[in-house]
Amino acid sequence: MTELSLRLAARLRERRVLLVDDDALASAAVSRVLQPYGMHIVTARSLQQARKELGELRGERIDFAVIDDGLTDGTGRSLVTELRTLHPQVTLAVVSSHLNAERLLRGWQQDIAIVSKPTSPTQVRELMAALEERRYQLDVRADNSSEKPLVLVVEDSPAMNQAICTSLDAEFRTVSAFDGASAIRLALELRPDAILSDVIMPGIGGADLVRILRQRREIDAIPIVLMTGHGDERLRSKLLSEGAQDYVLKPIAEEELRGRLRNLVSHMRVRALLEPDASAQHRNLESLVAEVMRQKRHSGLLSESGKLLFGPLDSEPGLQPTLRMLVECVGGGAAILQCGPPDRANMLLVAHADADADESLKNFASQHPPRPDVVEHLLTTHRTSTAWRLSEAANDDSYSKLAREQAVALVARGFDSCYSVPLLARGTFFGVLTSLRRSGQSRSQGEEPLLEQLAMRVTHAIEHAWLYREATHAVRLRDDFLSIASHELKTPLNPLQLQVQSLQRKLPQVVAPDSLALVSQKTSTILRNIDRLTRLVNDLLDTTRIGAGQFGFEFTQVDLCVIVREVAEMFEERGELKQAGCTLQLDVDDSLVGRWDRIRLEQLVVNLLSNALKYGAGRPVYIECKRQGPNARLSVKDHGIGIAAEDLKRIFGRFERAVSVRHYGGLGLGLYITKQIVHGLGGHIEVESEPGVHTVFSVQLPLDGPSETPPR
Amino acid sequence: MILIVEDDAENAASLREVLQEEGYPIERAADGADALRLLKGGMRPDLMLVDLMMPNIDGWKLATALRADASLQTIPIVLLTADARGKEAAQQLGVNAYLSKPVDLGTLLDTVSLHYRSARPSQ
Repeated sequence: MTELSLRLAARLRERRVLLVDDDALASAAVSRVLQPYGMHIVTARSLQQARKELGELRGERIDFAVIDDGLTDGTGRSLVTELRTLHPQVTLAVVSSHLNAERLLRGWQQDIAIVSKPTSPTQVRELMAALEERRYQLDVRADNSSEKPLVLVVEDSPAMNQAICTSLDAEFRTVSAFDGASAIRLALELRPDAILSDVIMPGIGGADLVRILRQRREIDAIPIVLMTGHGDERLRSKLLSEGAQDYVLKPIAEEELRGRLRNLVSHMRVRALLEPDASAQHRNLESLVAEVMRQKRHSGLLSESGKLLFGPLDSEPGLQPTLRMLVECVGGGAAILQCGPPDRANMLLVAHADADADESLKNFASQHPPRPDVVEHLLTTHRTSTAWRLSEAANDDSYSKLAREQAVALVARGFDSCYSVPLLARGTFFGVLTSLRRSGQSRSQGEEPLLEQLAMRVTHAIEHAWLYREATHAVRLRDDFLSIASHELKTPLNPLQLQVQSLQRKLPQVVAPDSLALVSQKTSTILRNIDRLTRLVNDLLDTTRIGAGQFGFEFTQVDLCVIVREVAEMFEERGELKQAGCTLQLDVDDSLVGRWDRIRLEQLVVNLLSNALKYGAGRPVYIECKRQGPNARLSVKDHGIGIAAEDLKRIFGRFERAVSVRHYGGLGLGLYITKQIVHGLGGHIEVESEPGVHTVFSVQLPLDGPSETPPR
Repeated sequence: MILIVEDDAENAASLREVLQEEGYPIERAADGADALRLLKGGMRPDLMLVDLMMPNIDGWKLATALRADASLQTIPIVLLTADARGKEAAQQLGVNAYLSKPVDLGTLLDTVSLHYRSARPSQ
């Protein structure tokens, strides 16, 4: 290089250089070569002088230092450290008479150029150029805030390299490398925005350069543009496939080159902006997907458990299958220690995802049924979810000796880590759900809230089944009681009725004729009330039978009209009509035969008529009984107090009344039973009423009796 | 002679009274076991009035036992039932008649007179 390029020369003008050499002539010669560039040169003859000069320079900048290694008062290397401390930016060259590979390598590692003494102006200029390049590279590296993208230009011809750099100057910062090796080093150090490289170079050529650069992860994203000549089609394809982004043909068209570099750089910059987010997002996305999958699995488990735990009303909750499903979902082992409700024995259920661990746990459960003292202890300590260790329990004196032995037995089988959730509902303790893991295994993510949710469902299922059992038991007790009660109530009615009837028969023989009417009236009253009582008790008995599903029917050919007339006669005979103050009018067909239950039909007519008389307010009662197509139609109409609209539907309910208890007596069962009878006979019943005016009960009964499935 | 099989003393007394007033000789057994003992011992009533007495099924066992015994199966039986299921029981047990409690006097007397000294219905 006879002359430094104008660019380089311009940069050198600003530089300050320290020359340390005890050879005054050599030093002067170097100074002379560098003079035209306008650099500020400081010379020193010895280390001591160098130090003095540095001291005087104080705060001022030193850009380069060229130090002769063999100085009279020591080696230049000691000065290097001092210089670096005072002027961290200084670019160093050590002039050495003994150049060998080792020294060169060491120098390179310390970022010191080891050079031989320059003997010609050309060598001096070369040295300066090298120092300047290095300096520039360091400046570039330090200056990351520049808007201009950095391009590394790799071209072994210095003139070409300079020319390219010049053409890129307006838009880019450039750094030059003249061979593949330094290109790699600079690429790693400076992380340029783009690399522009010639393909044909001595040593590491463009092709190798691409391959090597693409292997380094830190820089494999830097776009590489290759400069190739015409006719290198195969080479170009090969290079593109190796990882180069683009190529330009020589001779280089400057506009085109700038355009291509511009595109590549902006593309890279956008990618660089997104890259950290993308990988973070990717990480987040992965974990998000995993989270969603896990939640799906967990909610699937919970809804399936609902089916297992809440089966038919009178069934036991499926605790064992639920446990199995749990361990298959989250792995590890699980147990339910059930110590309630009061009508169930204590139970220990276990399951494990691994077959052999499952075996081991089942073995343990069969050998160690739940102990009352363990249960007792759990009651007091496990009021909230707890993470605990079996190995700790084994050493905990608050547990009984036998309980501790059990803990030891489990530890011996390899289980240690537990998470227990109490099965607690409204202050009632039903047991504990525990997740059981082997020593060293941790619980899967989200397992704890899942266990708590599952425990809640298990508790509800146990409590639910218990409450249902309690309720049905209570109902059964009540029905049994009613059944016994009605039977007992009926017992005295038998002798009562027999005796009064017997008395009534004998009246003419034992009573004086003028007293006969009076006494007869009284016995009638007694008999009537026996009837009322009998009816009430029968209603009670029927109601319990209906509840127990024992309200049966026997079907024969029955004449409804005959029954109506018989009932009317009976009420007349027994003075019911007179007592109620009602008159009775019948509009009844001669005969209406159907397939019904005689006794129930009679009961039906009796119920309707006695209601009509009771609420009839002493006004006429009409009974109509006619055929209507395939049905018999019976209606009972009274002109009494009537029924309010809102009560019409209710009155057929069991125990329902549309009037106050005190004023009209009765158990409120009559219409309920009546409705059951009507349905049992295959018919319908309706009521229509105007309060204070009238009430009509209409019954429709199919002559053929009920179909196979009686209507509800 | 009518054998009344009824555990309720009041009821048994009333039945006895009204039937005696009609002229029937009356014997009483307190329960099914008692009745069987009397019958096995040689008693041969012209009619038996047997309380079915739900939920206790002494009446059932008795009637079944009588049917099984050749020497006893011809005795006419009238069941006294506390509910309307009497007909079902009557058919199943092969008795002559049934009466629902509380028993109506007229019905009782008619039924008794109908079946007194008659044979048992064929199965």
